[in-house]
Amino acid sequence: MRVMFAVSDYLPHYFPMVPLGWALQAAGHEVRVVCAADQVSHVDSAGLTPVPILEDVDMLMWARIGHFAAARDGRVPADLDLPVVNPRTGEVLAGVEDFDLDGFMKTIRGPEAAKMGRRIDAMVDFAQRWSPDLVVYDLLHLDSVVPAKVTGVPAVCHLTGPVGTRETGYGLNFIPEHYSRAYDKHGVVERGTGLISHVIDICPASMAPPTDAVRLPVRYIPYNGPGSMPAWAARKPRRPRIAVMWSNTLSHLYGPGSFAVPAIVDALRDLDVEVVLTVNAEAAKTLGPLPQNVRLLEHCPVHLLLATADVLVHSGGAGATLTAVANGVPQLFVTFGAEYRANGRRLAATGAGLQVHGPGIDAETIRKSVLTLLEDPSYRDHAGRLRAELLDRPSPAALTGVLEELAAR
Amino acid sequence: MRVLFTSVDWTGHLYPMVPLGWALRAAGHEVRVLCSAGLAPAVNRTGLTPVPLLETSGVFQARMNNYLRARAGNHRTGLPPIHPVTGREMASLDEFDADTFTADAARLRQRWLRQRLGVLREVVNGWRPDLVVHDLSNVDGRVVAELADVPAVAHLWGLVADAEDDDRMDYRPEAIDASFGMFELRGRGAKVEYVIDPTPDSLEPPTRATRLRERFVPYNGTGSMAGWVLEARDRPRVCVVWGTSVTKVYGPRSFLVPRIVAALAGLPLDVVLAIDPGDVAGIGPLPENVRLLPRSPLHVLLRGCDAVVHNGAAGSAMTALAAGTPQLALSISDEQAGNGVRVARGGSGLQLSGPTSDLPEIRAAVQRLVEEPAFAAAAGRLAGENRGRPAPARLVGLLEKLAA
Repeated sequence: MRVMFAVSDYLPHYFPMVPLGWALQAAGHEVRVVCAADQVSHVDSAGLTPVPILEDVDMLMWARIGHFAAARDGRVPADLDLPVVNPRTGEVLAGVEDFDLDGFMKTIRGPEAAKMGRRIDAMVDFAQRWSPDLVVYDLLHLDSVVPAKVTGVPAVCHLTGPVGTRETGYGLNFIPEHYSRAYDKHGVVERGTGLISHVIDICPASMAPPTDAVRLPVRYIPYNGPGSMPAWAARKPRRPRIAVMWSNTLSHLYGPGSFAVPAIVDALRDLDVEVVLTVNAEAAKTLGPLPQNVRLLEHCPVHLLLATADVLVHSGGAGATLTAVANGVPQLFVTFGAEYRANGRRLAATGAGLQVHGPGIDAETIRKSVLTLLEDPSYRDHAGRLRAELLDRPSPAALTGVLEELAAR
Repeated sequence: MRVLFTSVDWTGHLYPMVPLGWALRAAGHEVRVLCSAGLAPAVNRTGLTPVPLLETSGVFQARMNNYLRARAGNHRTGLPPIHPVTGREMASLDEFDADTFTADAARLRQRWLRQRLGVLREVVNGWRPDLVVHDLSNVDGRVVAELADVPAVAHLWGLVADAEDDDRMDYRPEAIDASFGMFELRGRGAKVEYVIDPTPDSLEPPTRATRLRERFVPYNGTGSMAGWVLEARDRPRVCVVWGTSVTKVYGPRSFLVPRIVAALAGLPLDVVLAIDPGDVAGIGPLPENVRLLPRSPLHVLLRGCDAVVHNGAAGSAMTALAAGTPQLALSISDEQAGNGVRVARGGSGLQLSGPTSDLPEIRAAVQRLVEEPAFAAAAGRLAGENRGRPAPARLVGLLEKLAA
């Protein structure tokens, strides 16, 4: 069959789809990934074929707009403790009075709406020429349902982690409120969750995301991008190995105060552990001279490193969360923002890790949390149990059979 | 299970194994690809994980093998010989002193062997593979299987296998890798027991091993799907594809695209060049019916084409077979000639010796492929045979049993 993947401009959201793309290709199906030009190299480097027919969307800007609007309207929960940032530049602001959101929206609304319409038209045009049997899309790109409806084929939403499609908490609802006029033009009457019939769920059963759609569970297979592991990282050291990862996008959303790596490095400097820091070179430069027990590791997919790690400390992204689950590694979440906090809380509820509040975090709290994860064996036991739950899910190879049946109906 | 793939330095040998690598990952197994640092970026782009510990040697080794064959009077390409180290054309074979070079190399051999075995042992002890899948022409996979005492499965990259009568088609490491004897394989690596064969049923090459039939799923490297592929066409479209590895081994005169362009200029055909932009400069201004396209994987392009012209490389031949596209091989090397001949026997293609064919011959061959329906019919039949073979996903269970 021909399967059209359609992905947003936010790479971490569609990385989990890559192993399903492999599964389909390995079964002899054709897969094409409809995307924006700025995603071509990522899709290309994952062994999949990009179809770059979409104009780029600045997802970070839209995320900042959403957060700013919520702050201005008083809808942001106070306990998130987040600063307000300039939606256009990402610069931290003293308050919502410092940016004219309405004025800004007046300038971009028209052009952006027209762009979204053109993106939908391009997807419909491609689907009509290429005739996919199935569409699989990233939740941040719900518009992908339109070409599926126009050509009369099923559309399946591929989730990224513990956040689902029936969420009421602030910042966890990725279903858009506004829809392009192109929906009417193409005869699509459904809106919101009415557009979502099936979801692919990659979480272990204990963390299943809430949804009203038909759930297609699958085992998460870690794919973290290209890279390889140097020999030293493949060897388990004598001391416990603490892997540290940090999202590249956080500081674009919440300002430089949300880069907590210095506090993490500080927290661990006097412990008898080896810290492996997987931040990119730019971020590493800002850290200054590193303590003796810290090693930098670039261009290594975190999945490879976690095979020899005892704890993962990270900012709460779903990819990091599930990669640690897949490896049975206990994790410490230092979270900024609602989505990452939710990931952390949901994982912590299973006993496989701890979540701490990012804003204002101090080294002592981090140190105590890491020591707890190292010294209390229950965390590793629960992490092992979660991993077993994940292994119990059908593999992407098995999901391929389910999708074949769905497309054949 | 943990499956270690091993490949020689050519993407043409790596790519046919990639869909099986995906199949194993998709079934939840761990996969690593042992390769040279030179091949690691290509491995990365497939989505698989490279272990870049081998030395890059492919180009030198290929040139050296060609030189030795030329010295033995077996060199048939019609091109001047290429200096194994510098890559420049030689006016005479005497310009390279192979004997001194080989004597010097012998002193380094023991050191090389120790170092190589050290690398392979580190992989075995550190990662503990349960199974090895190796390109047929690669020796490292067989050494790893021997050191780890696990099964090894050879993967064909095209239309040649391990029991060829014609020694010009013998690409086993026993025949082409000077280091083979040094490993003294006696256990799991001593002989090839299993061969994964992705060729169409009618073209299966001879093997002494147990043949594991596989559907060829084309993977041709990176590139986007170009829009024109889906457009209706008002005249036949011919795609010209030319890999760059051949030029490195056989020299600049083996780049035949300018002659192909000249041969097809003015014909009532749409000709698309799917080649590296860096290579285009040498062609000069393009005729009206010839266009250069941005890089796109061959299997994606062929959907919008009626015939393909290539240099006989296995990847191009196999991709055209899977796509059901009639093909012309303008071959350079012995293997490429052999591929072209084998495809021609199946009825879906023609083969000419690239350097010695003239423009009218090339033109006539392409016209036949486009005008005579027998080629398309045979191509369709062979593509059907391919589709009837088990997809890589269906081999996973078999490999699990082997490794158990």
